[in-house]
Amino acid sequence: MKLGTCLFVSVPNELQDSQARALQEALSQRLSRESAIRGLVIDVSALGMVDSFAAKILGETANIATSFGAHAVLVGIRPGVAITLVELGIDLNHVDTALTLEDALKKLKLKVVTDDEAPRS
Amino acid sequence: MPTIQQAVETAVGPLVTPLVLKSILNTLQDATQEAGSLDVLRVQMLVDQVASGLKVFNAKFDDVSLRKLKAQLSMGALPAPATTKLTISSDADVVIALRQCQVMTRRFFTATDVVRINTAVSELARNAHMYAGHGDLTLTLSEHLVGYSMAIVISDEGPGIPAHVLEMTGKYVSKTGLGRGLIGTRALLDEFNIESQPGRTVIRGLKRSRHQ
Repeated sequence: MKLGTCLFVSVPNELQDSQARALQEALSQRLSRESAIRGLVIDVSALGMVDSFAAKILGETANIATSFGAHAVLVGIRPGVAITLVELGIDLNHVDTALTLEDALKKLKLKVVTDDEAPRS
Repeated sequence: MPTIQQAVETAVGPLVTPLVLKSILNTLQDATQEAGSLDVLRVQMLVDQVASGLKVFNAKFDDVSLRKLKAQLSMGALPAPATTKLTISSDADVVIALRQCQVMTRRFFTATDVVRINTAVSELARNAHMYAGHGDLTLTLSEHLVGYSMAIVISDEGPGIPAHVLEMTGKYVSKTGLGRGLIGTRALLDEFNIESQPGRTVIRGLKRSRHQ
């Protein structure tokens, strides 16, 4: 979902590995096609669990965004997920996170504009 | 062997009017099944059903009554463990396994422990699928005197985990995803054991809850 120069994506619960890869691929395509995108907000609030594979996909996606000149922010990490990620020893420190959508947008320092006003690519 | 109906009558009967008791009994499914042969999940499910039924009638149903009901349903002994066996041979199977794990753990463990157990199952199931093609997963939920435990056993007939990955001491940091995943999974559980050689790998894990 696009809002101005920001891409929003909500990761659904119970994502199969192949679907996760497909999502990453779709995001990469979108980022490469639309150079005006400067921010990527990934909503993971539906995820009751993030294992090493899911963490890898998220980390990679953030890196992919960076390589296309966009900044990725993870939103909605559940407390139990945060705890287990630390216990698993997974390092997602290179990925920016925010508690709320508002914080994420503040971090991205973008004014949210509607699609009507979005620059033509 | 008494039936579930009889067990509920004995435990709940003295607390409510005959009419309320009749209503409660009407809502119980499989009421002809024998009490005592039930597993942990079934006992808890029945207790929940009766408790919510009693709430509707504003009946007094405290911890003591709950324990009495549980005791009646399992005939004084601890209920049998609930076991789920699954074969993991695809991505979809991992999702199914996690769903089942969620159902088995959510009433018996803290929210964070549920995440820990699910994450461990996800890691192990995915490993089996990724490295061995397919594996056999067994989840066993047991009740003990001081709480519950969830046992995870996953076995496969794959190439086995290389020795250098298996040398997991506290300070060892594995370079491979497999090693890191295994070390991480061990950190989530209370007990963790790997037996692996080419052709057969068996991984066992256990997570205990504290008595609620």
